[in-house]
Amino acid sequence: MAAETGTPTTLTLKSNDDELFSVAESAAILSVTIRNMVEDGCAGGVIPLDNVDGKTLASVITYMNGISAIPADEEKKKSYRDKFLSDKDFETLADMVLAANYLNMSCLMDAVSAKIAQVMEKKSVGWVRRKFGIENDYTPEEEAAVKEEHKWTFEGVETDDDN
Amino acid sequence: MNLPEEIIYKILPNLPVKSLLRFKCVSKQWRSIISSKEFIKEHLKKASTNPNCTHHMITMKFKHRYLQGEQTRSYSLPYLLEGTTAVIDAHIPRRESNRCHLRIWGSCDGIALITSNAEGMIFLLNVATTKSNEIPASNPKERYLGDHIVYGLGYDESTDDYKVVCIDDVTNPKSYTTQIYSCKSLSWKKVENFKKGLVPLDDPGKFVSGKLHWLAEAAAEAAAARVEYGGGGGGDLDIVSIDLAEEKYKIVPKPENFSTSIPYQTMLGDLGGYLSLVSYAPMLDTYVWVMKKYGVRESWTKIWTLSDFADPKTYVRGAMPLFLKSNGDILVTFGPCVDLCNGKNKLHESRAAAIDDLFRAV
Repeated sequence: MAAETGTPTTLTLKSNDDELFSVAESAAILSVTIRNMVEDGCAGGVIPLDNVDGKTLASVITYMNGISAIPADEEKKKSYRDKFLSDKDFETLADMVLAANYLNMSCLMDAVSAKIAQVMEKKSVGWVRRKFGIENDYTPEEEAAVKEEHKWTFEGVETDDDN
Repeated sequence: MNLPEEIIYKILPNLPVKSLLRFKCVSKQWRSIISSKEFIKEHLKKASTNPNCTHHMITMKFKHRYLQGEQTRSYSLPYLLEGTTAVIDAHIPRRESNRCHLRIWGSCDGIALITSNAEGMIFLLNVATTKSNEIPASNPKERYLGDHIVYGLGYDESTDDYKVVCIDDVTNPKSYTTQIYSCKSLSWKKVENFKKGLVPLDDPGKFVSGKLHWLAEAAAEAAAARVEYGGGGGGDLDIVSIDLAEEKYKIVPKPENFSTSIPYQTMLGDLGGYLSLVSYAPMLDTYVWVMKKYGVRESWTKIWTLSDFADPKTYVRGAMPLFLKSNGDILVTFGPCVDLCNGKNKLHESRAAAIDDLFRAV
């Protein structure tokens, strides 16, 4: 391992659409899933990540490199995370949260979850159903009753024309 | 995009209550997640530890200038910290508005205890959902909530129960009664009174560290003070606590050399999770102390002194601290203004309509 040879070890990660990525082991082990593989000695060749596509994996690796370059300073890490997520749309965030979950990266998971919540905050019920692919299983009467109970929460909701 | 339920569980606790209530409409599954007890607990934990206080609200009593009655309004704390005009964030239902002589007795986890004197009502208001529940009067025979009944609201972690303490009639040191209402059993229970003839002042109980706190004075002194000054608070005061799990009393140490005597007036508070004391006197400095380590006399720390940047105009009314941020900045009211201050400087000022009575809510 890196500590023994004195040179940084590089891992090769493979996305589910067969893209290959090189990443420093020290950054990659932010993922507990990858760290376990490294510790079990199964990281010799290419590490296949069957649940992550190339576009998302590239983004996750950018994050891994960026955050591991920051010394132990929680405030700086937080502002890096905020900046990293600031321009991502809902679909990208959803892909990232799935990847973070699969890779077992709790800091990214928490940050992306909070960012998704921030995007959702003022959205309509219909927007949430569409974006999350949820089927409305209420009857019109049931839905009206739930809505009536919390009528005031429907004030100030954004219109749905933006994504 | 179909996200698994475990990820939905990660995302939703980050949302404010208003969005969550709206999203109960998304589907039956979402409604059952959002309504579940575990989810509510998780959400509360997240909201109360949020370093930016995003979900904190401050509720204030408000007297309408032209109409009869009083209202409560809740302000989102970030607006008070950053905005220039306070924004009313929670919508208090009509039913609770326009009641007479409202008194806010404190809050715990976003639930406020409010009494309405004229109608003899006690209710618990969930500040974020704006739902309220009336609780029965402690003495159903006399459904009269006079000026001499003292309340406090707190949470008993050992039984996962919110409890209301009611001390009735504090002007009568020999024969007052102390009762505790359990929101789980929906009933009142009589408990022991304070020892050593101590009587609490007519102030809301302050909930810190699982206990409710009051300033209290010895009965004999209280009687003497009433003759002399026409009110309590003239003599030496102790801090008494009632543990909501054990339902037992204790005396909590005050700072060393802390004077509660005339001309100083003393107020007990809960600032940033600490028990606090505010000591003020007309034309003199206002001091704010907090007990950094609960129950330890040496840990009382003076965190703020008004004279550091005082405006002489505000001297007479004095400044009341509302909220202490984890970085040490303090939110203070001066009359109708709410200011955010650090040790030396005023950082920010915002105005809220006629503030009468204030408390902190998560």
